[in-house]
Amino acid sequence: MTTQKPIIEIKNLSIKFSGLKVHQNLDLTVQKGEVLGIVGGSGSGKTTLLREILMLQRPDAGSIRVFDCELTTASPQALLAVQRRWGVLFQQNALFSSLTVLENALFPIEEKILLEDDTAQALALQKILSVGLPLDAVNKYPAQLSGGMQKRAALARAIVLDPELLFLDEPTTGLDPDSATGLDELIINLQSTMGLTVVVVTHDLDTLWRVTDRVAFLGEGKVLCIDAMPNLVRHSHPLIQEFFKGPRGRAAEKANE
Amino acid sequence: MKSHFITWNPQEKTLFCQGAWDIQHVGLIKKEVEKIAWPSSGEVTIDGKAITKLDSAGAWLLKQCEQTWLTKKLRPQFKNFSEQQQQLLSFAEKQTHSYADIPKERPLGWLAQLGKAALSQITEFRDYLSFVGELSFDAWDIMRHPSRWRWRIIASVINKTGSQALPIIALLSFMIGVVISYQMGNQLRNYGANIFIVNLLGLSVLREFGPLLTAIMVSGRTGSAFTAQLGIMNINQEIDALNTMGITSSEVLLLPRLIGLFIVLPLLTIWADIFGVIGGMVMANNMLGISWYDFLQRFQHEIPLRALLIGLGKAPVFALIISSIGCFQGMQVAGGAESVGMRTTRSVVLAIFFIIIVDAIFSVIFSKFQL
Repeated sequence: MTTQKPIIEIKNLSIKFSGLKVHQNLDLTVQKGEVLGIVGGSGSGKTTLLREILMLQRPDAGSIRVFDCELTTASPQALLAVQRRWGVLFQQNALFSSLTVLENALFPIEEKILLEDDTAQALALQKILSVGLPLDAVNKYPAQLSGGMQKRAALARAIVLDPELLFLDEPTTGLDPDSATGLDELIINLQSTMGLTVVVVTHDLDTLWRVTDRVAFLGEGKVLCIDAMPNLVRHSHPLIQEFFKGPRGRAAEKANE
Repeated sequence: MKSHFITWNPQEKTLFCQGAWDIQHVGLIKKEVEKIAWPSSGEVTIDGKAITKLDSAGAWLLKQCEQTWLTKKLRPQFKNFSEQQQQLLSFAEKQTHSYADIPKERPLGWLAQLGKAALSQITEFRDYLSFVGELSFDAWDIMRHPSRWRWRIIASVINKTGSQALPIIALLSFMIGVVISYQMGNQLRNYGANIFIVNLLGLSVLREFGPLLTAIMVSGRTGSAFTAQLGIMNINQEIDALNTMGITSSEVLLLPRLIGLFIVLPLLTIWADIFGVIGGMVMANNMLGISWYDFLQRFQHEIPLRALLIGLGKAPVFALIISSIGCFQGMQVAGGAESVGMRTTRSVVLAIFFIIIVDAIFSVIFSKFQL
């Protein structure tokens, strides 16, 4: 795995908002085929980091290479080629409210790829069913679905173009424990069958233990530690100890041993 | 047969797959596969050795082919697929529903559609009535407790819907005055009855155009804003939050808007009257040669105070129409962005519709009483 070129390579990333330094010389590398978790306390810049990688937010300085393409200086065409290869699940789902679930999943295919209608529909339907949505949810509008089903529909849209890289922003937030566990399992399954590389920003300790291969802990504007969960929780940095040593952290650790 | 993606060997009955079997090329590959003349019976081997990239779309296509072979009584054999690729194939196998399997809503016949549309209109009207009723009860309740009067919010509504609308209303009324004067002046000049422009302009602006056009402009400017604002608050559960705190939305959101516009619209109407008359006066001076002095002299003799009062009397009614429809539509928003857009459109269209209807009713009543 280490001999291959990394999928994401971030170097010396810096950004500040109205004087507040959110990232200071942050470095991060994501290898092909791994599931990387990103954690950190509130305000540690997790979402900002994700937005920077997705080019929704321009960093002040530093380099972000995704699929070996320098995004900060990339031409619109080069950026388009990269965007075609990743999928994103947003925290608030960001489903198009005026389209049904099927139309939501069809949208990227219709926009990006020339396909016959029935092929496109079959492929969209394949993804919708693979995320565990029932057939009768297909023609419903997002507002008619429960929170967990909306998450799944958004995930179906994110994977519909068979991305190599999948970003998940707080995938289990706002779900009941049962749905959250279901979603965790779904992510693991999709990752192994479709050969995805997954970057997951989350607070959910169970997700971190169950899904991730490595976890990057953000704090003080940089990555304080990046390691597998069992090693990360033993790291001596006070911020990391504080994060994982609460009653919830210990319970999650015990449950996943 | 040979191509970029498939090579069919009829002797060995083997289909050699090669290249990238991904979503980019699946349409192309599908067409090529459909051209192949399959044997009538026996075993078909699919060799995946030379596939450089297989994704779920490619796997879906392979499984589709498998289905057609099975219906033709052929026995497909998959050979030289890696473990990852086999996982994808079994992933695709599990999801073999087609679009036809989706339960569809049966389209309604025209009669049923008509009935549904009529019913939804009636329901909406009933909801509107109960909204107004509830609001009246709340208003009565709050009226008896002056401590619950929200002066600050009312003032902010007056500022936003009134003082900030002054420039645009002045400009448009002035233009209307100019247009009326110009069109009527042309006719009057033919009969040498130039000076009667004062009567025509004064009566039409004060009685009709001032209140009507102001109300239409305000419903476009303010009624739509009420709907969009309340609609987004509804979606964000801000109104639910208020309700759980025991504060009714009528008290802090709806009644201040109603009262604010109730105060503002008559004032805006006077403002529009003034600029409409000035616009007409400027045009009368330029085109018909009526001096400022003559115009104003005749104006006070010919135009009764009644004309102004009738015009002003309509304004509060229009204000209630605009704000109650705007607020009602805002509270009806549910779901998402689409609903906000739909309700905002409805709010403006219905408000203007009812303003014109009510104006016509007023005209009939006034003429019955010979006012």
